[in-house]
Amino acid sequence: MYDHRQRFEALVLPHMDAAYNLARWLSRSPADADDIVQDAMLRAFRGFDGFRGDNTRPWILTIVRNCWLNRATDTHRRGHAPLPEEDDQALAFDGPDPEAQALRASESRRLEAMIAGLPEEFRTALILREMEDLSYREIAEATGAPIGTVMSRLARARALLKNQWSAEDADVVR
Amino acid sequence: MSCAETLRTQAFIDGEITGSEAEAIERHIEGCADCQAFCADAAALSDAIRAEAPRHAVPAALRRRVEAILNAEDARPAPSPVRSARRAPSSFWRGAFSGVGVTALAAGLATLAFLPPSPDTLTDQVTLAHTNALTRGRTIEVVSTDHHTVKPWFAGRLPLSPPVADFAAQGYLLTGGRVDRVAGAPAAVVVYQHGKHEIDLFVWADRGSALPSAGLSHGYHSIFWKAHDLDFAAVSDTAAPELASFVDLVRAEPE
Repeated sequence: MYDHRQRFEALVLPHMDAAYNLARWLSRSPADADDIVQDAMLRAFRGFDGFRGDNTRPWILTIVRNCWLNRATDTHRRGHAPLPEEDDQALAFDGPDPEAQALRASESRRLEAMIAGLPEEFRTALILREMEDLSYREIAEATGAPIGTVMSRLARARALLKNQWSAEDADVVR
Repeated sequence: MSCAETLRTQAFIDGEITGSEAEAIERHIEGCADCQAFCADAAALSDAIRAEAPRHAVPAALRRRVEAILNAEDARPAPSPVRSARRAPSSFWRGAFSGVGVTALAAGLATLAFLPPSPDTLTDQVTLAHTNALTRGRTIEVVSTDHHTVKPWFAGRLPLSPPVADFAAQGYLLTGGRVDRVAGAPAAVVVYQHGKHEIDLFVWADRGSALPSAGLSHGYHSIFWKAHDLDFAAVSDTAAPELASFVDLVRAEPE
């Protein structure tokens, strides 16, 4: 019989980099990301017997995101309220965020700052698609959203970044 | 300003659409300026993210702490022997093709880049592009064994759509793609692995120039052909019959 720990090491631990990367981009803080990943791995390990799917990656990423949401609620650290589903109106970037502002100061890191400034749902969809190569279905699973919502969030994320980028270029020219 | 098909175009470049639906949306993109702009912007963003936005890797200390947490958890209900956590599988194989001699060869061929394209120099041209990529250790810009990922990657990066198929069953494993130049024009390169050898399949828009049928330059074999409005060249240091079998597979693929 395949024991619990071995299965966990074989099926979940290979996704720890993906888990940590998401935690970093969600929390924007290395210390918080450390805590979130430890918390998520412990919860995943305890709940692993109940896991019935065939794909552990969206599963562990869901746990990471939930851990972040719980912490953010606990400490009122969240920068904005959750978006209403399918709200396709023009969305403002997050308010002043000290880390994002510091990043903006450095021209070479402006892309990082722009992504960090995206509303969370858009940022998560983009990170999981562009950095982790998740499919739409996997992103939908990880974020608990329908696939159609994932598609519009990705399109919005890309459009927001493009507009932001063009606007900043225009500023530089001026 | 945005086309009603934007989401389907996006699904295509994200590798979510296959088969006849993919062909239909490709045809749409060819005739839609909005979707072409969308593809180009998305490709530029994707490249920028890969180049500039960090994918954070787990710090070693955190990995050890997680291991300790699992050990403690293991020990809680029923003590079990402490086991060292196995490392995650090493990172995905990526362009590990630097070889002794490649650098010298590239230097020797470098002057050829300035020659005009002709059947006589084309063999050296594609060999040069192939070895330059090997030298830089950057033969692959999109790493994937899935043709549904590789083919759409070229949309927005090139004005042509190269055929991309997987021949893993026949021993030719699709490993990715890149954009390169052949004879001064942009070319799609679809990269395959055959045993320990890399095969680069160059595809560029036909401009009516004559092609050599086959060539040998510095130990690298190359085979050329035309199909529809595209020129093809397969280049590798694998044996000539192996490369010929590969070309047969590519040419037999309906496109």
